[in-house]
Amino acid sequence: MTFAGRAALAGVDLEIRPGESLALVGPSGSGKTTLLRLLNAAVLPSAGTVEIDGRSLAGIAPDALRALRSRIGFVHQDLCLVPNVRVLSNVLSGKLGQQGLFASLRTQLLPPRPEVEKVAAILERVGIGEKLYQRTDSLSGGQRQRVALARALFQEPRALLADEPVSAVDPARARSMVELLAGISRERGLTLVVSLHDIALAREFFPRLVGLREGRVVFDRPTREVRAAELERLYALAGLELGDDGRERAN
Amino acid sequence: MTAASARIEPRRISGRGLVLAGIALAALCAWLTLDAPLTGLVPREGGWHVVRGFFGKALAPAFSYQTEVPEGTTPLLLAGLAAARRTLIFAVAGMSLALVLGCVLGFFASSSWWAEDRRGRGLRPLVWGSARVLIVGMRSVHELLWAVLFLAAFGLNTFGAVVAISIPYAGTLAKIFSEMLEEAPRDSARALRELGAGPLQVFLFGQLPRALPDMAAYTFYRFECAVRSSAVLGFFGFPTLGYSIAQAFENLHYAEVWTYLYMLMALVVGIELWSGALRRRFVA
Repeated sequence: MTFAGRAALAGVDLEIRPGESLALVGPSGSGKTTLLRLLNAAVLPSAGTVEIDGRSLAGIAPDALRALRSRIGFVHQDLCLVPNVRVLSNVLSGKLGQQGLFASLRTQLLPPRPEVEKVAAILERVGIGEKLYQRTDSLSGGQRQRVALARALFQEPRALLADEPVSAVDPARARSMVELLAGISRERGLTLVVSLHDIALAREFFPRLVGLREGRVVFDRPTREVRAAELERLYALAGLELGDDGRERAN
Repeated sequence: MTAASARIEPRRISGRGLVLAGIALAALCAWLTLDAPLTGLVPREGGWHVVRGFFGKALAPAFSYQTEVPEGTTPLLLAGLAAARRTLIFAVAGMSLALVLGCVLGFFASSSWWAEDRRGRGLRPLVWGSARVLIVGMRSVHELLWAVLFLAAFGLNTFGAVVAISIPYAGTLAKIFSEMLEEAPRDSARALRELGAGPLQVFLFGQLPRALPDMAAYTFYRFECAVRSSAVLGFFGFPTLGYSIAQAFENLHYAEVWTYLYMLMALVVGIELWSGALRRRFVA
């Protein structure tokens, strides 16, 4: 995967099994977001292959791509909600990939009762049940994040991806958000891939860690086998290498 | 490790400064070449009389005709209200046609309908360009000129007046709509595309809602303009407030002119209040 001539990701070889949950860790610019966007079929690799459900994305037909995307929920770092409509509308739009134009117009303009009930139940689960009819921009950052999660869940996805779900909220809320993601994925048997730069949270909630640095996978193994020194080295500033004693050394 | 220090550029006037200076110079040149002596602001012989007569009636608008009228003539206020009503009807009809055309053209003149992949890429410049050219053509001729044209072609035809308003208004709406759609944040549209929404769904539920408050506010402003345009069409003989104003003015019935002017102002202020109330309710 290259952007403007520089490889955003190179030599990444990753296999994620259905129902698995893992965290991508690494400093800013290490390629976490690009990797998530590849997994979401939002971008296609400039070299190499991405397979989802055993199906290669290379040369995929537009309709098949839509169908594939509609079953992957993505919680963007900047949420990407429509601020000036009700929470209900934002969550309902999660189904757009599975609806024709007229069905979606009907659902958005005059939502059928069962759909509204489904949305209400999801909002209840993510902890903002009472916000159903509120305007999205009247909500706090943490609540909006839950709207974005609710939209992804309304897709009835098979996999849930989240890009830095804790960057916009304070530490206490960050923890509850990650807890929510992990809990819901377990309940529903969803594959969960989350990028996090908070190592403590990644360690607490994810059985598998993938460390990325400068577009390369540095480690990929069960969380309990990831050593503290490896993590420190992952986040060391470029040009500085941590010695075995943990002190910075000029490179 | 040596830190690279920022190189300080020599002092010079920026490009933006030069453009601003150029614009100021052009304005100055325009005034100098205009050859408009300030004495031109002094009314001519007899002009004072008209000015005094006209503004003298500003606080004394007429409530009935200033001269004897034949038996059975509609009373002044009722005639004025009827003209105001027609002014509004012309404006609403012209504006609704303009809104439909403006939305369609604005959509095609923006990049909203472009698919994310290469499909239809060859068609883009053709459709986009045609929409742009059409918009420029519609906008560059004023509604009064369209009215003169239709007047010559179809005579004093109500439909001609409505279309005369709607053509340039559709062009202006389309131009502004396409810019608003273009400038609205695209993050929500991108998210919907990435969850499998089709291009039209992405536009309707991800892009359009972001631009809609601005588009609505601008439409209301143009509606206000349409009411004024509709009134002015009366000067060409269409039965709106302008017709009444022109008649009264020709007969030097300045008090009646003021009656009609106040009715026009009431229309414009009424729209302003109404649109403000709507905006407070739905946008803020």
